[in-house]
This record gives sequence, structure tokens and C-alpha cells, in this order.
Amino acid sequence: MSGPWFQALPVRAAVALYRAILILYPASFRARCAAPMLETFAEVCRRGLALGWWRFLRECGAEYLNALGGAWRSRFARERPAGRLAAPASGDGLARVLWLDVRYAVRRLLAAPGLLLFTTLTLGFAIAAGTAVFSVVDAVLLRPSPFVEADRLMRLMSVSAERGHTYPGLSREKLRQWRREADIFAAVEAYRPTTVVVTGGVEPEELAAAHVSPGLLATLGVPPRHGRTFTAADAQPGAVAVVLVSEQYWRTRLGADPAAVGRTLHVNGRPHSIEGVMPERFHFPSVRESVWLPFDPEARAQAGEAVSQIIVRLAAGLDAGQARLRIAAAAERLEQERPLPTGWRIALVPGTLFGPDDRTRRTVWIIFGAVGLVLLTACANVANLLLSRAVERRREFAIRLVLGATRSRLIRELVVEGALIGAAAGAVGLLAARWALGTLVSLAPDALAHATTNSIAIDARVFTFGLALAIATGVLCNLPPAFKGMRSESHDALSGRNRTATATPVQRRFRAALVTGEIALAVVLLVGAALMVRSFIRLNAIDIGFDPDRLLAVTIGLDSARYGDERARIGFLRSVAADVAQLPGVTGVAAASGLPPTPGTSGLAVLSTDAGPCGVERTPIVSNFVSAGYFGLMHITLAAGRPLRDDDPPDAVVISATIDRLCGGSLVGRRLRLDDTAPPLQVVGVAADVKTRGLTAPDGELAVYMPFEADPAALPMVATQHERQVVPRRLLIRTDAPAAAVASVKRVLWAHDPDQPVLQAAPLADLMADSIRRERFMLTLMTLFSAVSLALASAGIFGVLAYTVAQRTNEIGIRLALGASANAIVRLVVGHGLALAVLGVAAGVAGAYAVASVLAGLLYEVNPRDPAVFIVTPLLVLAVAVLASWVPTSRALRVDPASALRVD
Amino acid sequence: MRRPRLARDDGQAAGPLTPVELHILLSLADEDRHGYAILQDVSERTGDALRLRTGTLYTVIKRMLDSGWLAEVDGPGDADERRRYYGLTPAGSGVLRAEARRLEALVALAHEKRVLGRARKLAGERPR
Repeated sequence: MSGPWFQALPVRAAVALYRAILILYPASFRARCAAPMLETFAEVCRRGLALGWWRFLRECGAEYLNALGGAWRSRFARERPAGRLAAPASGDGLARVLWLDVRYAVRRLLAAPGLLLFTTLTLGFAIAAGTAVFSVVDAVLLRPSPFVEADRLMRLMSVSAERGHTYPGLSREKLRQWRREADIFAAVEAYRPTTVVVTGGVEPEELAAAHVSPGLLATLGVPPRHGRTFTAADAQPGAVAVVLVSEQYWRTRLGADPAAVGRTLHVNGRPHSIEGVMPERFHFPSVRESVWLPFDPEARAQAGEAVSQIIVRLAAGLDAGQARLRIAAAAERLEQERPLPTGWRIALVPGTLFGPDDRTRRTVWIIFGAVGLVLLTACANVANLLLSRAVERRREFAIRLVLGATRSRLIRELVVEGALIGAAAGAVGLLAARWALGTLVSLAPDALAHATTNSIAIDARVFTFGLALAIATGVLCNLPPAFKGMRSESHDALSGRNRTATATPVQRRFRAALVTGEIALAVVLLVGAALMVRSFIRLNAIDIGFDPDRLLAVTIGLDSARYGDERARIGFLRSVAADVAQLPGVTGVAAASGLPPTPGTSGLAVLSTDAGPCGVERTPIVSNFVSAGYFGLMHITLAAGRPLRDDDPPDAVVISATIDRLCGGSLVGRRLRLDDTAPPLQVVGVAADVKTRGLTAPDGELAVYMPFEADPAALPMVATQHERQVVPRRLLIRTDAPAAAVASVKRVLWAHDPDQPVLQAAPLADLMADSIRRERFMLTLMTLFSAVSLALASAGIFGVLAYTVAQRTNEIGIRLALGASANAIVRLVVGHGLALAVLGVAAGVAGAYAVASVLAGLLYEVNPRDPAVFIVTPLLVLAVAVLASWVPTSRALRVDPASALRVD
Repeated sequence: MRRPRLARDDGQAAGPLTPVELHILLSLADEDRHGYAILQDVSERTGDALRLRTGTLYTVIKRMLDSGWLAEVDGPGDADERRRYYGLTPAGSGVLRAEARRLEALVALAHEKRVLGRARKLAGERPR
């Protein structure tokens, strides 16, 4: 997303705002200096942007404040020729005058509480949303990583060229090969995310943890807060078991005791010595981990081929492009030593280490854009309101001018008033933002919440941004009236012909333009929301192949230290399942190693039958060990054969329909190999395809189901799973109230083993819904934003029409007196509203059409320029416009010709 | 309310200059510059101790233009034509010279009073 708008737009936007501020300078000043000032400011912006986003925002902020100060001085400070010291003690006088202004403005605002409430809430909401979203943008996209020279840290991955699958790991042989390439990498380090059970505390706890190679923390460049990090000796076999803990764990579980270093922690049942506490901002590899353990990625793992995720630091003086060239050259050389499976290559993934992926980045920018549109709408609305108030206040201004008030004084008052509105809105907004941010983060998909190693919180900088935004909005919205109110001819206003004299054409056009703009923005947001809705409906209509209703999924991590072999695990699960089945309301229990949307074991399959290979080259496959009742409970239909039985031999297998199809069909009764080296399996049934990886997974997944006792050696060879300390197993429980059964199931479990933590216990339907959390998140936000902006836009239409009707009471009265029909009056008012709406809708549709493509990657089987959406949305907006015209119209129809004519 | 402008062609501007004024004049003493170049020159010369902002810069430039100390001049041949260049007028040079003399006199006075210690004398001694 680093297109041209990404680079040029911020500067252009910043310059536009600066230009708006320049309006505050006296005309003579502007004539001479405005152009070079803009040029100079743009230069400052560009240099700032070149030094990073934060620098850019800081430079702009300082420039804006400075320009506002300059405007103030050049208008109101006493004229002072060059070379003179400032008049002493003027500051004192100024402060006093300002204080008077503030008091006066407060009194005037309190005199119109409705206006104050409306503007404060409107702007407050927009600012809350803006600040909350900016906090996320700041944490995810702007704030630098805490790692040293993070831009030189990258990941090595295996990528399948043809299918686009990415495996974020390399085998230890590959790791060893790449570690020798010292001219490309200053360091090649490895880690494996895992979970550990920590006992000995208040309750057994399951914590996210990571095995890291000893040099990894030094490569990241973050020193510990207390104690030390790992040394190579820590990873040697037979070394004293050591562990590092996060600052948060240290604070919440160890009482922030500096003497905690050296204490013992029971990790997976074994005592480990706490050797260090990492600092607060250190999160690795995501924000969840609170424990780090050392491991030697080059040591031989117990079973199978272990894979680690790889972090590299580029050698000095090498950029990503050069590094890639050298990697390609080296890969060719290394290929001869130990080839990768065909079609796979090594990729250097640039950017920040755990930075957001492209979809997340896009999601965040789109939300930020949407919130910006809402903020604009809110500003337009408030400006509109203040404008109509200015016309009403013409009389007041005219009288005060005649009585000797200076124009500068009146302008100053309006500025103070605007700043107060802004400050009030800012206060409301920032309070609401705290709440909004919490909601936002809790709704956010994991990919977003864990896209950053920074913690997402409203910090002082974001607070400042919010307040500055609020005050700038308040002042800018209040200023147009300052110039409008002034320009009106005083005698006109004083003569009391207020009711007949409508606003000047310029004012009317300006207000109409504001409303049109609001409608256009609302249309853009609504189109976005409608596209999301369509995409979401599609997602919900997907055939997932099973029925998640009335099923409770309980995941428990069986500690291999206590349930060392599969026999012990099966025995434990059997006895728990038998007792759970006795619970009231439970009509069925099954056990499995994986449940959608979390597949059991993933690997790559090279399928073959007795008749020969199926012609399927290394395709991802999911294997799942399931007990007899699994297919019945899940309502997975069997296309052929029978489901698994508890007395099936370990080599019995039920395959997914896609495998059956790929291998020529009617496989039941025949033998299937998942891999050349794996023993053959006896196919007993063919099950319907299931979305094992969640709703958005591609169709036609390869899946095999094996009896719970099956031999793991039958699994495909290249497994992404490594030796595990904790083996996850699932219980599937059918009951009418899955959520309510959680507590009693846990009680049964703990009756069998009080030290056994529960990883997850939730209705299966909720888990499936979670797999489209990103889509739901976007949908919720877009719907909220578009609803708010539509409400604001219709309030805008209402305001303009109501105002017009009030202004034209005389005209309407005359028309009625001359025999105009009610229809004609309706046409007059509604026609006016519709004209605004049609204009706005046209602009909005054009705008939406232009920007719709940014949603492309985030929609599921919906064209971002979906014709239905582009037809229905405008109609909806027009309907709302007609509704908004209704009250003003009926008010116009009630005009009594006689009284309307009598007034003057 | 307005006082008469006191700057005169002979450079006898009454009173000391503000730091911002002095630095802008100094920036333009050796060559004509555009606004951003002045900002950069000042911040480089003062090691960022004086960070001028666009608003301040032009408020002062406007005042000095009005006082006749500066004039808008043509940039060098290859200059971007959107940029406006500023140069010292004879009056401006006079003011700067007068200010420099005033400061020189002040510094001399400070030396006389040994405000700066014996630094000057030591610096004047030859190495043995």
C-alpha cells in the first residue's frame, strides 16, 4: 500500500489545512506572503515525512500552532516596526482580555444549550472514533518497533510458488545451511511458538510461550529489565533449565519483586530457574507470550523433522533487494546439497518482523479512512449549524459594530467560542475514546491485535492528537460564520427585515454545498458497508459441511510429562468423556485431535493408491484422530462407506470427498498412502468436505480421519508441528445449552485431574464465527460509521430545509394566498431537498466507484463494484432525504397565508 | 495606535534587534535565499538552538519588507520559479551593520569588565 497517495497525500492534506489557517491572516499579509509560506511549509512537510510519520505529524502540528500564533499577532498584536522590543506588560493585558472573552463565550454557549449539546456530541463522537482508530494506526503502523534496527530484521520462509502456500519455517538442515551464509546474514536465529503449563501458582495456567535460540534476544537487541538473557550453554542438553518471563508476568504473578530472578518456576511440571525479566515493551513473537525458553534449533528433535521459524538480521551494508539476489544465488548452490520439494522456494519476507500483513494494513487504513470521512461529515454538520446561527446573529453583530465594537474583537470572540466548543467536544471525545478503544481492540481480529508488538493504548501523544483535532475542528467550524456575519451590511440587518431577507446566495450555496458533501460522504461509507454486508451474507451461506449448533468444544492440553504416551491420553479422555456423558442434558460426546476451525495436524501429502500415485504433488492435508461418535455429532454426511468405529484397526481411515475424487473415486475398501514412506491405510468411508480451517478456507480441502488410537507415524512426512510439550485434545459435547454446560464439564474434568488446565471451552458455532472475525469487525465498524454519517447527513438536509422554510415563510404565504396548491408547496420544499440529495448521491457514487477497489482483498466473492450495491445504496439515501424533508414540508403546509403576510 | 516606523535609510534603526530578526538578516548577508533556505540556514548555524517556524519567519519577513530592509529579488537562474527569494536592501545591510557594531561594542565592554575571564589574552599568546 505504498502507492503514490501514500506518499503525496499527507503533504497535500497538510498544505490544504495550512492554507485554511492562512485565511486568518490579514489580506495585505496574504497577498504578499501566502504563496511563499505555502511553498516553505510544503518543504518542511516533505523533509518531515522523509524522516518518518511521527516526525511529520510533529512538524505539522508545530507549524500549525505557529501559524495560528502568527495570525493572531499579525491581526491583534500592537503594530510594531522591525527593530523594536515588544511593549512591556502587554501580555498581562492580553491575558485579561482573553479571560473576558472566555467568560463571555461560555455564557453565550450556555444560553443555547441545545446547540452546545448537539455540537459537542457530534464532534465528540467523531473525535472519539478518530482518536481510538488513530491509537490503533499509531500502534500498528506508525510507532517504531522496539527492536534495534528493526528494518534489517526479516524472516525466512518457505513459499510454494504455484499454490501460494507459505510455511513460516525451515528445517534444521536448512537453518544450518543458511547460518553459514555470513555475507548475507549477520545472524540467523530461530524460534517456535508454543504453550506451556505453569503450576505451583494459584491455579494451573496455560501460557503462550516461545522457544528461542540463545542468540535471538541479542539479535533483536533488547536487553532484559532484570537478570540476563540466554547464552549458548542454556540450550545444551543437560544444562540447568532456565526461563525468561515478561514484565507483565513478573508484575502480576511475581509481585514485581526484583529478587524474583533466581527463583523457581514449574514449567510443564519441571522446575525452571527464572534468569531474567524482559522489559515492558518487549513482546515476542506476538503480544501474548509471557515465557521464553531456550532451545537449540540445530539439535536433532525426538520425532520427525522439526521446523523452526527463522529471523535473520541482514549483513551490514546489504539492503533487502541485494540480499534477495544473494539468497537466490545461494539457494541454487544449496539446492544441490539438499533440495527443497519441487515448487518450493525460500523467501525473504521484508518489513517489520511481526508487522501487519497486507490485509491487516489495508484493514487499518480503510478504517482510518472511514473514520476520517465521519469526522468530515461531523465537521460539515456542525459548520452548517453554526452558519445558520450566524445568519440569525447578524443583527447582534451589526448592533455591536454600530455601538463601537471592533471587528477584531468580534472575530476573537468567535475563535474563542469555537475553541471552547472544540475543547468540550475533545473532552467528551477523549472520555468516549477510552471506551471506544477498548471495544475496538476486543472486537478486533487477532491478526490486528497481534499485528503489533506495541501495546495499543491511548497514550499522551494520541491524547494530544485528539485534543488538537478537537480544537482545530471547533475553531475552523466556527470561523466561516465569523466572516459571514461580518460581511452583512449593517443597515440591512438593523432595519429588521430579517424575515423577508433570506441569506445571501453565496451563503445558501455554501450551506447547500456542505449538505451535498455530507451526503456524498455518507454514500461512500454506505457503499462500503453494503459491500461488507453482502460479503458477510455470502460467508454465512457457505456450506461448511457440518452443523456446529448445540455443540460444545472443549480443548484441553495434555501435558506430555504426565500423559506421556497416546495410551495414557486416550485412557484419560475416555474416562472423562464417560462421566461427561452422564451430565444432564448431554446427548453425545466424542473425542478428536482437531476441530474446525483448528485443524488437527497439517502436513503435505503425496497421495497414492495401489493403482499408483494420484498425481497430487505435495498438497496440504489435514489429519484428524476422531472417536466413533464424531461424524454423528458433527452431522458430517458420508458419501460412501461407513463412519469409524471404536473397534476399527489403527489403519482404518475415512477420507474427504476431494481425496476420493482426486484418486479416481470409489476408494472405499481400497488402500491409500498419504506419503511414499507412510504405511498404507484402509479406506472405510468417504465423508463430505468440511471447512476444517474456518469459513474463509478454500473449497475442496484434503482431510483424513483416523481412529483415535491411530499411529501418528502414518501422518504425512513434512509436518509443521514440532515436538510438543502439551498435546491438545478436544472433547465434542452435544447439549441443548452449550455455553451453560461449560462449568459442569470443567468440574468433571477436575474431578479426574485437578491440575489439568482447560485451553478453551466454547460453543463450536462461536468458534466458527470467530474465524470470520476480521470480516465481522470491518462490517460492524463500517455499518456504525455509515449509519452515523447517514444520520448526520439527513440532519443536515433537515436543517437546511427547515431553515429555508422559516426564511421563506412570507413567500410561501403569498404563494398560498395566490392559490398555489399543497402539491406545489410540497414540490417546492421536497424538490429542494431532493436536488441537494441527487447532487450528493451522484458525487458519492462517483467517489465510491473510484475508491471501492481498496476493499477488493477484503471481500469474499463480492465484486467491489457490485452493481446491486451501487443501485440500492443511492436509492436508500434518496429515500432518507425525502424522509428528512418531511417535517419541514409539513411545516410549510401549515403556513397561514394571512398571518404570514401580516407581520411586516 | 500605530507608531511611525523608525527604520531609516541610514541604518540607524533605533534599538536592538530581536534574535529572530538578527538571524534572518545574517542569513541574507552573504546570499539571497528563499524562505525554506533561511529556515535551514538558521537552524544549521545555531545548531537547532533557534528553530524558526514558517509562521514566525514570514511575520518577521513581512515586517522587514514593510520597513524596507528586505526586498523580493530574482532567484538564481536555475531557481524553482514558485519560490520567492529575499535579499537585503541597503537599508537592511545598514541595520545589520549597526547591530553588529552595537554587539561588538557590547562584547568589547564585556571584555573590559573581564566578564569573559582572561580567555582573549591567552588566545593571543604565542605558543612557546
